[in-house]
Amino acid sequence: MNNIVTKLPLVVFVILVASLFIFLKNDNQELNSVLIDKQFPDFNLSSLDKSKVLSKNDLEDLPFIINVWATWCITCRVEHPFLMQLKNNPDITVYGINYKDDRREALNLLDRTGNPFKFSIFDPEGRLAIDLGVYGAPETFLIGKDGLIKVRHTGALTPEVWEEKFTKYID
Amino acid sequence: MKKLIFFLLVFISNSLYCEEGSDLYSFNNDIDYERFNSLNKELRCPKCQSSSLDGSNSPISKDLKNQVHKLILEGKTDDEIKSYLIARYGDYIVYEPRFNSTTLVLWVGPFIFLFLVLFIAFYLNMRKSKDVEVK
Repeated sequence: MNNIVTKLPLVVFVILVASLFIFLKNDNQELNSVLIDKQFPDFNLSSLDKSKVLSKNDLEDLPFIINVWATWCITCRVEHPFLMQLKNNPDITVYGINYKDDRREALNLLDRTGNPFKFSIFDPEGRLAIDLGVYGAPETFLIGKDGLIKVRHTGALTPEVWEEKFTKYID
Repeated sequence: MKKLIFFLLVFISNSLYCEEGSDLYSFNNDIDYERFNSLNKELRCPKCQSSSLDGSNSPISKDLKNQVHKLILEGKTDDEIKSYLIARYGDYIVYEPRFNSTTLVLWVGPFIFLFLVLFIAFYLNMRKSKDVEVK
Protein backbone atom coordinates (compact mmCIF):
# COMPACT_ATOMS: atom_id res chain seq x y z
CA MET A 1 0.00 0.00 0.00
CA ASN A 2 2.75 2.32 1.02
CA ASN A 3 4.57 1.85 -2.25
CA ILE A 4 1.53 2.25 -4.44
CA VAL A 5 0.50 5.56 -2.93
CA THR A 6 3.92 7.18 -3.14
CA LYS A 7 4.28 6.07 -6.74
CA LEU A 8 0.80 7.17 -7.69
CA PRO A 9 1.79 10.70 -8.80
CA LEU A 10 4.39 9.24 -11.13
CA VAL A 11 1.89 6.79 -12.62
CA VAL A 12 -0.69 9.53 -13.14
CA PHE A 13 1.94 11.75 -14.70
CA VAL A 14 2.99 9.05 -17.15
CA ILE A 15 -0.63 8.40 -18.13
CA LEU A 16 -1.20 12.13 -18.61
CA VAL A 17 1.86 12.53 -20.83
CA ALA A 18 0.93 9.47 -22.87
CA SER A 19 -2.64 10.63 -23.45
CA LEU A 20 -1.56 14.17 -24.35
CA PHE A 21 0.94 12.70 -26.76
CA ILE A 22 -1.78 10.69 -28.47
CA PHE A 23 -4.46 13.39 -28.54
CA LEU A 24 -2.23 16.28 -29.58
CA LYS A 25 -0.90 14.28 -32.49
CA ASN A 26 -4.42 14.06 -33.89
CA ASP A 27 -4.98 16.46 -36.71
CA ASN A 28 -7.59 18.74 -35.21
CA GLN A 29 -7.81 20.99 -38.24
CA GLU A 30 -10.27 18.51 -39.60
CA LEU A 31 -13.45 18.35 -37.57
CA ASN A 32 -15.15 15.02 -37.34
CA SER A 33 -18.52 15.18 -38.90
CA VAL A 34 -21.43 14.42 -36.60
CA LEU A 35 -23.38 13.47 -39.69
CA ILE A 36 -21.60 10.16 -40.27
CA ASP A 37 -24.21 7.40 -40.59
CA LYS A 38 -27.01 9.98 -40.73
CA GLN A 39 -29.45 10.67 -43.55
CA PHE A 40 -28.61 13.28 -46.14
CA PRO A 41 -30.51 16.46 -45.16
CA ASP A 42 -33.64 17.56 -47.01
CA PHE A 43 -33.38 20.56 -49.28
CA ASN A 44 -35.26 22.49 -51.93
CA LEU A 45 -32.95 24.41 -54.24
CA SER A 46 -32.69 25.10 -57.93
CA SER A 47 -30.19 23.38 -60.16
CA LEU A 48 -27.19 25.42 -61.26
CA ASP A 49 -28.42 25.46 -64.87
CA LYS A 50 -31.84 26.68 -63.60
CA SER A 51 -33.55 23.79 -65.41
CA LYS A 52 -35.42 22.53 -62.35
CA VAL A 53 -35.99 22.63 -58.61
CA LEU A 54 -34.09 19.86 -56.89
CA SER A 55 -34.79 17.95 -53.70
CA LYS A 56 -33.22 15.01 -51.89
CA ASN A 57 -35.13 12.56 -54.13
CA ASP A 58 -33.16 13.74 -57.15
CA LEU A 59 -29.98 12.31 -55.65
CA GLU A 60 -31.08 8.85 -56.70
CA ASP A 61 -27.97 7.00 -57.90
CA LEU A 62 -26.51 5.29 -54.85
CA PRO A 63 -23.70 5.27 -53.91
CA PHE A 64 -22.70 8.81 -54.79
CA ILE A 65 -20.30 11.55 -53.80
CA ILE A 66 -21.38 15.15 -53.52
CA ASN A 67 -18.72 17.81 -53.87
CA VAL A 68 -19.01 21.35 -52.46
CA TRP A 69 -17.34 23.72 -54.93
CA ALA A 70 -17.19 27.34 -56.06
CA THR A 71 -15.43 29.46 -58.64
CA TRP A 72 -13.71 31.48 -55.87
CA CYS A 73 -12.26 28.29 -54.41
CA ILE A 74 -8.71 27.67 -55.62
CA THR A 75 -8.31 24.18 -54.16
CA CYS A 76 -11.40 23.13 -56.12
CA ARG A 77 -9.40 23.58 -59.30
CA VAL A 78 -6.71 21.27 -57.94
CA GLU A 79 -9.18 18.43 -57.49
CA HIS A 80 -11.11 19.13 -60.69
CA PRO A 81 -9.09 16.75 -62.94
CA PHE A 82 -9.64 13.92 -60.48
CA LEU A 83 -13.39 14.60 -60.38
CA MET A 84 -13.37 14.41 -64.18
CA GLN A 85 -11.78 10.97 -63.84
CA LEU A 86 -14.42 9.86 -61.35
CA LYS A 87 -17.12 10.92 -63.77
CA ASN A 88 -16.09 7.95 -65.92
CA ASN A 89 -16.15 5.54 -62.99
CA PRO A 90 -19.30 3.40 -63.41
CA ASP A 91 -19.44 2.50 -59.69
CA ILE A 92 -20.06 6.01 -58.42
CA THR A 93 -22.12 9.09 -59.35
CA VAL A 94 -20.75 12.59 -58.81
CA TYR A 95 -23.08 15.42 -57.80
CA GLY A 96 -22.07 18.98 -56.98
CA ILE A 97 -23.16 21.74 -54.62
CA ASN A 98 -22.25 25.13 -56.01
CA TYR A 99 -21.56 26.99 -52.77
CA LYS A 100 -22.06 30.76 -52.32
CA ASP A 101 -21.22 31.55 -55.89
CA ASP A 102 -22.33 33.50 -58.91
CA ARG A 103 -24.47 31.38 -61.22
CA ARG A 104 -23.10 32.75 -64.47
CA GLU A 105 -19.47 32.53 -63.46
CA ALA A 106 -19.99 28.99 -62.23
CA LEU A 107 -21.59 27.88 -65.51
CA ASN A 108 -18.79 29.59 -67.42
CA LEU A 109 -16.14 27.72 -65.48
CA LEU A 110 -17.82 24.37 -66.14
CA ASP A 111 -18.05 25.23 -69.84
CA ARG A 112 -14.37 26.04 -70.03
CA THR A 113 -12.87 23.28 -67.90
CA GLY A 114 -15.44 20.49 -68.15
CA ASN A 115 -18.35 19.45 -65.97
CA PRO A 116 -17.68 16.42 -63.75
CA PHE A 117 -21.13 16.57 -62.11
CA LYS A 118 -24.34 14.83 -63.09
CA PHE A 119 -25.84 18.09 -61.88
CA SER A 120 -24.96 20.83 -59.40
CA ILE A 121 -27.29 22.17 -56.74
CA PHE A 122 -27.18 25.97 -56.63
CA ASP A 123 -26.78 27.05 -52.99
CA PRO A 124 -25.94 30.78 -53.02
CA GLU A 125 -26.75 31.34 -49.33
CA GLY A 126 -25.12 28.16 -48.08
CA ARG A 127 -28.35 26.82 -46.61
CA LEU A 128 -27.84 23.16 -47.55
CA ALA A 129 -24.17 23.65 -46.66
CA ILE A 130 -25.08 24.60 -43.07
CA ASP A 131 -27.25 21.49 -42.80
CA LEU A 132 -24.21 19.47 -43.86
CA GLY A 133 -21.91 21.20 -41.37
CA VAL A 134 -19.83 22.64 -44.20
CA TYR A 135 -17.42 25.43 -43.26
CA GLY A 136 -15.50 25.94 -46.47
CA ALA A 137 -14.84 24.59 -49.91
CA PRO A 138 -13.97 22.09 -51.19
CA GLU A 139 -15.66 19.41 -49.14
CA THR A 140 -16.74 16.02 -50.36
CA PHE A 141 -19.31 13.63 -48.87
CA LEU A 142 -19.83 10.02 -49.75
CA ILE A 143 -23.33 8.59 -49.42
CA GLY A 144 -23.33 4.81 -49.31
CA LYS A 145 -25.69 2.25 -50.83
CA ASP A 146 -27.91 2.45 -47.74
CA GLY A 147 -28.43 6.19 -48.32
CA LEU A 148 -26.44 7.22 -45.24
CA ILE A 149 -23.47 9.62 -45.14
CA LYS A 150 -20.30 7.53 -44.86
CA VAL A 151 -17.39 9.91 -45.42
CA ARG A 152 -16.82 13.60 -45.05
CA HIS A 153 -13.59 14.98 -46.46
CA THR A 154 -12.46 18.62 -46.26
CA GLY A 155 -9.86 19.86 -48.71
CA ALA A 156 -8.84 18.61 -52.12
CA LEU A 157 -9.95 15.15 -53.17
CA THR A 158 -6.86 13.37 -54.46
CA PRO A 159 -6.37 9.79 -55.69
CA GLU A 160 -4.55 9.03 -52.40
CA VAL A 161 -7.42 10.31 -50.26
CA TRP A 162 -9.84 8.43 -52.49
CA GLU A 163 -7.97 5.14 -51.93
CA GLU A 164 -7.63 5.68 -48.23
CA LYS A 165 -11.08 6.95 -47.26
CA PHE A 166 -13.60 6.33 -50.02
CA THR A 167 -13.01 3.10 -51.92
CA LYS A 168 -13.96 0.82 -49.03
CA TYR A 169 -17.59 1.97 -49.36
CA ILE A 170 -17.78 1.27 -53.08
CA ASP A 171 -17.53 -2.07 -54.82
CA MET B 1 -2.35 69.84 -35.84
CA LYS B 2 -5.36 69.94 -38.14
CA LYS B 3 -4.05 66.91 -39.93
CA LEU B 4 -3.67 65.08 -36.66
CA ILE B 5 -7.27 65.85 -35.66
CA PHE B 6 -8.43 64.73 -39.06
CA PHE B 7 -6.66 61.39 -38.74
CA LEU B 8 -7.95 60.92 -35.22
CA LEU B 9 -11.49 61.54 -36.42
CA VAL B 10 -11.07 59.08 -39.26
CA PHE B 11 -9.67 56.54 -36.84
CA ILE B 12 -12.50 56.98 -34.33
CA SER B 13 -15.27 56.89 -36.91
CA ASN B 14 -13.71 53.80 -38.39
CA SER B 15 -13.66 51.98 -35.07
CA LEU B 16 -17.25 53.02 -34.39
CA TYR B 17 -18.20 51.56 -37.71
CA CYS B 18 -16.54 48.24 -36.82
CA GLU B 19 -18.32 48.09 -33.47
CA GLU B 20 -21.68 48.23 -35.14
CA GLY B 21 -21.61 44.61 -36.33
CA SER B 22 -24.75 43.30 -34.64
CA ASP B 23 -26.79 46.42 -35.31
CA LEU B 24 -27.16 45.15 -38.84
CA TYR B 25 -29.62 42.66 -37.41
CA SER B 26 -33.04 43.78 -36.28
CA PHE B 27 -34.99 42.16 -33.49
CA ASN B 28 -38.47 42.35 -32.04
CA ASN B 29 -37.20 43.31 -28.60
CA ASP B 30 -34.09 44.07 -26.56
CA ILE B 31 -34.02 40.65 -24.91
CA ASP B 32 -33.64 38.92 -28.27
CA TYR B 33 -30.90 41.35 -29.16
CA GLU B 34 -29.02 40.50 -25.96
CA ARG B 35 -29.55 36.79 -26.58
CA PHE B 36 -28.13 37.16 -30.08
CA ASN B 37 -25.01 38.86 -28.76
CA SER B 38 -24.39 36.38 -25.97
CA LEU B 39 -25.03 33.36 -28.21
CA ASN B 40 -22.50 34.66 -30.71
CA LYS B 41 -19.95 34.84 -27.91
CA GLU B 42 -20.67 31.26 -26.79
CA LEU B 43 -20.50 29.82 -30.29
CA ARG B 44 -17.23 29.07 -31.98
CA CYS B 45 -16.29 29.82 -35.56
CA PRO B 46 -15.74 26.45 -37.28
CA LYS B 47 -13.16 27.83 -39.68
CA CYS B 48 -10.94 29.82 -37.38
CA GLN B 49 -10.78 27.51 -34.31
CA SER B 50 -9.87 30.13 -31.73
CA SER B 51 -12.46 32.82 -32.12
CA SER B 52 -16.17 33.12 -31.47
CA LEU B 53 -18.75 33.88 -34.14
CA ASP B 54 -18.88 37.33 -32.62
CA GLY B 55 -15.18 37.97 -33.11
CA SER B 56 -14.89 36.50 -36.57
CA ASN B 57 -15.52 38.01 -39.96
CA SER B 58 -15.06 34.81 -41.96
CA PRO B 59 -17.88 34.06 -44.41
CA ILE B 60 -19.00 30.95 -42.53
CA SER B 61 -19.33 32.95 -39.30
CA LYS B 62 -21.52 35.47 -41.06
CA ASP B 63 -23.70 32.67 -42.40
CA LEU B 64 -24.00 31.10 -38.97
CA LYS B 65 -24.82 34.48 -37.40
CA ASN B 66 -27.55 34.93 -40.00
CA GLN B 67 -28.84 31.49 -39.11
CA VAL B 68 -28.83 32.27 -35.37
CA HIS B 69 -30.68 35.51 -36.12
CA LYS B 70 -33.26 33.62 -38.17
CA LEU B 71 -33.78 31.00 -35.46
CA ILE B 72 -34.23 33.68 -32.78
CA LEU B 73 -36.87 35.39 -34.90
CA GLU B 74 -38.58 32.01 -35.30
CA GLY B 75 -38.89 31.92 -31.51
CA LYS B 76 -36.35 29.17 -30.80
CA THR B 77 -34.79 29.04 -27.31
CA ASP B 78 -31.03 29.32 -26.72
CA ASP B 79 -30.85 25.58 -26.05
CA GLU B 80 -32.70 24.74 -29.25
CA ILE B 81 -30.34 26.95 -31.25
CA LYS B 82 -27.27 25.33 -29.69
CA SER B 83 -28.66 21.84 -30.32
CA TYR B 84 -29.39 22.82 -33.91
CA LEU B 85 -25.76 23.81 -34.46
CA ILE B 86 -24.29 20.87 -32.51
CA ALA B 87 -26.34 18.49 -34.69
CA ARG B 88 -24.56 19.92 -37.72
CA TYR B 89 -21.12 20.99 -36.53
CA GLY B 90 -20.57 18.81 -33.46
CA ASP B 91 -19.65 19.65 -29.85
CA TYR B 92 -16.86 21.75 -31.25
CA ILE B 93 -19.21 24.61 -32.11
CA VAL B 94 -19.92 25.51 -28.45
CA TYR B 95 -17.18 26.80 -26.19
CA GLU B 96 -18.67 25.09 -23.17
CA PRO B 97 -18.98 21.44 -24.20
CA ARG B 98 -22.06 19.47 -23.23
CA PHE B 99 -21.90 16.65 -20.73
CA ASN B 100 -21.73 13.37 -22.65
CA SER B 101 -19.53 10.30 -22.96
CA THR B 102 -16.84 12.00 -25.06
CA THR B 103 -16.65 15.12 -22.89
CA LEU B 104 -16.83 13.19 -19.60
CA VAL B 105 -13.06 13.39 -19.05
CA LEU B 106 -13.13 17.16 -19.52
CA TRP B 107 -15.78 17.65 -16.88
CA VAL B 108 -14.83 15.02 -14.32
CA GLY B 109 -11.05 14.85 -14.87
CA PRO B 110 -10.09 17.92 -12.83
CA PHE B 111 -12.11 16.71 -9.82
CA ILE B 112 -10.47 13.28 -9.97
CA PHE B 113 -7.07 14.95 -10.00
CA LEU B 114 -7.99 17.19 -7.10
CA PHE B 115 -9.22 14.20 -5.13
CA LEU B 116 -6.02 12.25 -5.87
CA VAL B 117 -3.79 15.12 -4.80
CA LEU B 118 -5.71 15.62 -1.55
CA PHE B 119 -5.65 11.89 -0.86
CA ILE B 120 -1.90 11.61 -1.40
CA ALA B 121 -1.14 14.72 0.61
CA PHE B 122 -3.31 13.46 3.46
CA TYR B 123 -1.70 9.99 3.34
CA LEU B 124 1.87 11.30 3.33
CA ASN B 125 1.04 13.64 6.18
CA MET B 126 -0.43 10.78 8.22
CA ARG B 127 2.67 8.68 7.69
CA LYS B 128 4.96 11.49 8.67
CA SER B 129 3.17 12.08 11.95
CA LYS B 130 3.22 8.30 12.62
CA ASP B 131 6.99 8.29 12.08
CA VAL B 132 7.34 11.09 14.54
CA GLU B 133 5.29 9.20 17.13
CA VAL B 134 7.41 6.07 16.74
CA LYS B 135 10.59 8.02 17.25
